[in-house]
Amino acid sequence: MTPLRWPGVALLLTAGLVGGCARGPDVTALLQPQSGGDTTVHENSRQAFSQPAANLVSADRATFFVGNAFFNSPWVVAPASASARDGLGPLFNARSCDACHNNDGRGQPPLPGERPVSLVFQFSVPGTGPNGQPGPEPTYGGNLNPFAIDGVSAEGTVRIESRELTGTFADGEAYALLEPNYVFEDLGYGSFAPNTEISPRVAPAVIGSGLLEQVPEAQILEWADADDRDGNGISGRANHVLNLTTQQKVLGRFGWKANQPDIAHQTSAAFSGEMGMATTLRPGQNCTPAQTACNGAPTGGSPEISDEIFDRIVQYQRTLAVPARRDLDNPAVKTGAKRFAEAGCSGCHRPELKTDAKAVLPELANQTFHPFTDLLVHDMGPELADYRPDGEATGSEWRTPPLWGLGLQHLVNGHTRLLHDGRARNASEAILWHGGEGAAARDAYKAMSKSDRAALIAFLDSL
Amino acid sequence: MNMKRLLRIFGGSTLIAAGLLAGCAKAPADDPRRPVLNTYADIVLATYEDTLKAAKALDASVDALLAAPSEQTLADARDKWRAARIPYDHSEAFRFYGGPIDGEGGPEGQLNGWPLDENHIDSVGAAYNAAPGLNIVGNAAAFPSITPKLVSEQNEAGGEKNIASGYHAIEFLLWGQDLNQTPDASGQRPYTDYVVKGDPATDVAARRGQYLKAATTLLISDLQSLVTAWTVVDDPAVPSYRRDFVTGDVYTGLKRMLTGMVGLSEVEMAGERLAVPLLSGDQEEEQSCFSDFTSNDLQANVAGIKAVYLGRYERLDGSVVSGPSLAEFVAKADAMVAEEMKARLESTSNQVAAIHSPFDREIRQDNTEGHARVQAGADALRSLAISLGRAATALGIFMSPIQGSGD
Repeated sequence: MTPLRWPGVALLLTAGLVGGCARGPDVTALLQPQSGGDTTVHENSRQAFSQPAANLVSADRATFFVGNAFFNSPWVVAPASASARDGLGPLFNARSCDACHNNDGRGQPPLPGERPVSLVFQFSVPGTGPNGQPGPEPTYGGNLNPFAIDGVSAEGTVRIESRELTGTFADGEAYALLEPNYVFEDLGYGSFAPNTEISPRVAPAVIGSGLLEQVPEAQILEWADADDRDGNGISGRANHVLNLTTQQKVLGRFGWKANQPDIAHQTSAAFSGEMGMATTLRPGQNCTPAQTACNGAPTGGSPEISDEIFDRIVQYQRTLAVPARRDLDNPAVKTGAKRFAEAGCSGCHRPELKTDAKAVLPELANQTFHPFTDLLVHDMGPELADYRPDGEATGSEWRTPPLWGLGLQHLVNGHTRLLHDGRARNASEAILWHGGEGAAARDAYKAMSKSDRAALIAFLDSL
Repeated sequence: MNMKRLLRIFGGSTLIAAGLLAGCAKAPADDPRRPVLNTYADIVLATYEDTLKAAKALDASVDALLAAPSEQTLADARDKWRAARIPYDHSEAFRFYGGPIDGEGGPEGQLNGWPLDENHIDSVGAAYNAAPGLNIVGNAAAFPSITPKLVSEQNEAGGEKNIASGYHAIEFLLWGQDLNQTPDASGQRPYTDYVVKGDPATDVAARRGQYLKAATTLLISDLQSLVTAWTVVDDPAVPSYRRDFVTGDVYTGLKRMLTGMVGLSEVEMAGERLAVPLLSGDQEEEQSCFSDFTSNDLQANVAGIKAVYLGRYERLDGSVVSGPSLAEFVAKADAMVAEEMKARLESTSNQVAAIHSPFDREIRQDNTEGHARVQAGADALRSLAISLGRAATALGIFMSPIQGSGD
């Protein structure tokens, strides 16, 4: 780590500019060791994201390992002897949750020549849904399935042609970004419908999902500021989505556009769209009427995943721990926290949230935790737009992704790819891609000295 | 980091610590527990050698079956498969810390993947994919030659894992699906499934035989790689996992031993192999579902844990590999924990041995007594994991919460 020569001077100047106060921002909440409250674990290994919450009582710990078994092991083609585990496909992206959320962590774009597994392409056609909202692509459905069981044609694959964009920091240092362009190939069912909108989405890390799920809706809505009444350039909005069980519109909080209200909805969507596994929440096979072999293939029952097993898989994700912070004594990390706050990053990447007193599990109740998200969607500008609306989220809005675990991603997943489509090769590139409501923070980062930028990255690595 | 680790290692040994602090001129003595790592490496090697030997016997019996299919040659191949499982089951106590078996590129998934994609391999019912073209055995056009390489490739194809190789693929090919025609029956594949009637390039019986032979060949090469990883290599220029393990950081080595045992007992056995079947309501939610060998597998798993902890392994030929053990050092560090471990190993062995065979009858929804026995086994294994955690603490070793997932 490069030592900071004039941290005091830099702090004074920047703080003076932003806050009009010589003391700088209060970054206490940004430097809390227990990222996941009482669920936090101290684990700095490949398995840092795979731990049961530290405060689980023994019965919940046993349930965790049952869910863990189903999260990791592959579903198989029906009919199989292991009938509780059959029903894969007919069309699919992956055979197990772990294939995309490897070690409970984050996915990445495919390497050249590979079919995409942990990068999913969602499809829709404007105006074809029941109430004029976007509907699925008529032949391919809601997303591209690059794999199929024997006897059924896969939907196709993708080639990524990236264009290099270059820029410079204020101090003159050059940087390069990769802008992906997707070429769909080997299509099994002809060309896409005209006007098909496509949204690439990489599998996010699963840690701490239970804490995020148990934050009171009212708390999140309080931060929403659709018209930017406070004039800070940040206008977080809620994406209201349908709860399939209650048929009520509720706050969306999971998925890249906050299009799923809770872990169960998110999980059943992934089972249906990406593994071809039917659940009570989303019954039926993921075949469109045009896909006749898909419709004729044997199923693994109805539902293919029993409610008992599904509940354990949900519970598993709910009780996955968050790893503790590291390097909090490092002066660069402390400086980086200040730069993070001064640049306005914490306007969306909120450091501190609290769960409801009446959480679904006592272990998750009343937890003060540090995910660095507000669970709202924000306009990220044309820089990151996919131009595909999703519920109430527009084609340029994205939910603030939590940043916890960022510094361990390389250890867990062997890569540092970030953003919704994994285009950023590291945290610095991810910041530089920010536009729209994130443009001011991006520009603040670009204006920082080299040592301040390094400090900011050191701070992110401590997460 | 290193200092902390050193303190943990030497924490219980005041003599050595005092020596270090006094600045005595001699080089610091090595951790007295290093011989435990040597015993472990000897036991791992002996276990894998036995596993390989038994797999070769299985492979020979498959040759005999394919040369002259009959009730007798099929029965003999099944016996050899059962015999081959036992040492492999022992070896599962060497998993869960990213060693040669399940580290980067390790063969665990290819050796022991479950559940099996059986109908990707071969037809499983007249109504469905007995028709050619829907599985590897039936599709001579897409898979003209069935080789170990093809079987290995299939195992990885298609959105991560396609389970089509290893012990359970061989088991499926020897037994067929267990359709539970009678309550205690396992798979009922007839030997005539291997009687070739036409051109071996297209005849399904011939191709089934080719798959079986390819699978046993692959099994042997995978097991050979494990034997190699744990064999003593004298030439320092040749990389050796064993050398790194026995000469490396003692704390790390001991932690790996403990992690393997805890991972097998709590995560794999209590969780995946016992709690999951009780929940799923599926009679075939068992590792060896075609042969109904699961209850034996479970007992041999516990025996593998005991061998690691006690530093004593009885080989297939009756000879014994033993040496300084974790048990001895736990006893020196904390007599109460040592007693607890002794009792837990005993009770876990008994509870798991009490699970009846066939396992699929035990987990039937209407078998409340069977459920109780399986539950008792799971509870005993969880308790064992807790005691192993205490043993680790007694040795000054910090285990991660999942206790079964790495260094």
